[in-house]
Amino acid sequence: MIQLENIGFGYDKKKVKNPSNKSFGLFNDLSLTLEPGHIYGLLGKNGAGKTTLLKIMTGLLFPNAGKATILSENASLRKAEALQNLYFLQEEMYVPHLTISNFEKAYAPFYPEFSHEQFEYFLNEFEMAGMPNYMDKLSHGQKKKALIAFALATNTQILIMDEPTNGLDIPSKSVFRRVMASSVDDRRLVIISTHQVRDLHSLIDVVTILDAGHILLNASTFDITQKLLFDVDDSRTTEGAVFYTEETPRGNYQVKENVNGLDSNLDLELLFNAAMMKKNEIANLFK
Amino acid sequence: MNIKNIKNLFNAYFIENWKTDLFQFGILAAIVLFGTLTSNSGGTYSNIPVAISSIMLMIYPDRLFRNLHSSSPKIHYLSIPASNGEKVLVNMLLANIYMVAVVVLACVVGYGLAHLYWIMRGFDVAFHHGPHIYPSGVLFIYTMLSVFFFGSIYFRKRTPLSTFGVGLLIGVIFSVLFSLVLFVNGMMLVPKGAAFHDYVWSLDYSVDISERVEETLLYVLMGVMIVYFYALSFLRLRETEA
Repeated sequence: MIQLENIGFGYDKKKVKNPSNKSFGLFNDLSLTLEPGHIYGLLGKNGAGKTTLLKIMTGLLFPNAGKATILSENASLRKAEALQNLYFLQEEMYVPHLTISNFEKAYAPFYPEFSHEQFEYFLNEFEMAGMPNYMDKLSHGQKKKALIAFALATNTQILIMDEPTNGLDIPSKSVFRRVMASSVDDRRLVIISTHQVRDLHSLIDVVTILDAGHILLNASTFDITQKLLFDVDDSRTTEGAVFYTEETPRGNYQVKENVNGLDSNLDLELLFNAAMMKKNEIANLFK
Repeated sequence: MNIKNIKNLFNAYFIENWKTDLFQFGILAAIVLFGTLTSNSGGTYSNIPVAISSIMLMIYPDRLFRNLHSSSPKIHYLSIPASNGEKVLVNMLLANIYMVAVVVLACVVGYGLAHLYWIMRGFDVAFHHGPHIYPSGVLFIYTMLSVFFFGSIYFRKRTPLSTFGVGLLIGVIFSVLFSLVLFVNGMMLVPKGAAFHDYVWSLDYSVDISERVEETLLYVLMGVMIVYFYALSFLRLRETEA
């Protein structure tokens, strides 16, 4: 559904324009395939290029090398047929000077699968129904809730969200998880780029970690818990290489190789820290 | 080109902008009304409303593409499910037909109200003394509109001023280059012993073509410019990144 082939990209124009230079700066020879029926969690440090990667996927930035394909179309062409099946919820949202109801009247017709009933339902869930205010006068969190409701109601095959829980209050975060879980099916691909891993822990079923212009890890949560054990104070086993340890008042949290095939609950924050600490080991484990 | 996408783009435009357009219509009608009333009564028209109408038309593309001038609105605009060609076409129609109609209608309303006022005051006003419209003038306005349309996609800040500034600069550079070419040619052709200045002024630069051909050539040139700048606008939008 989304395919990135040997992507090279950089913001430094001097590097990009030099044909002898094989390093583009941000991404060098990055390849990634994303399939429908999954919620991908795109994780990475600040400046790792998560938003840039999302923009390349959606045709908002053009790669300097390689090709980005979305729904079998070249993403850079931004064809209407592809855009009708794609919704990108950006972190720094823009909303026009319209009420929610007029926003729907203006932009819903562009999405053939848009459902007014679903939109009303999601707005209701976020306690935003019947809000008469202009969207640009709403608070950051309210704008986000209105746009999340709209994004979900478009029923596009691809839904990309950049930091969707930033600015949401605590009850809204749980509503977000609930409505997301209810609106994902086998034909839909969702990509969520986030730092707020604890907010989305229960939603994500494929973890993609971006680091230094490369995909460090792209694995399902099932595969991760098959290969890694999330343990406290060696309580389950002392076997297996320890990739990461974090001291807490409740004991030492560990990420280690799951040599005995034990079950454990995936902790995205520990996984991310382990991947940052032992890049090669983690990458090799999932090759 | 998909008719449904074009219809959706118009729909979104009018939902978002009808109030602003109505406001501008009112402002222009008021300017024309007061401009006409304060000029010599009895049907002599002030040029100020015509100048303001022209300026309104030239700055309108900046409004159409204002979303391209900052980061988040740009993502919003580029992500709207319509092709780049459809987006340029819709904005072209809005600038060349819709806004021209709004401006003309505002002028008609302004002049009409002014006449009504004069008639009520007992002046004998001849309605046919409206501002003269020349085909070349109309074509010139449309040519300038295409230039400002391109400028509103190409530049990021103060697009009408930037377009005007760059256009002026290009005009000056071409004039200087043209003068230089004439000067150098003139220098080379000056017969020995003749004074350069007298010789250059004695040359006949006029080309013997009829006025009709000259006018046609001017129309063709402006037509080519219009096509060129809209094509360039499409290419520029296609290359725009967020």
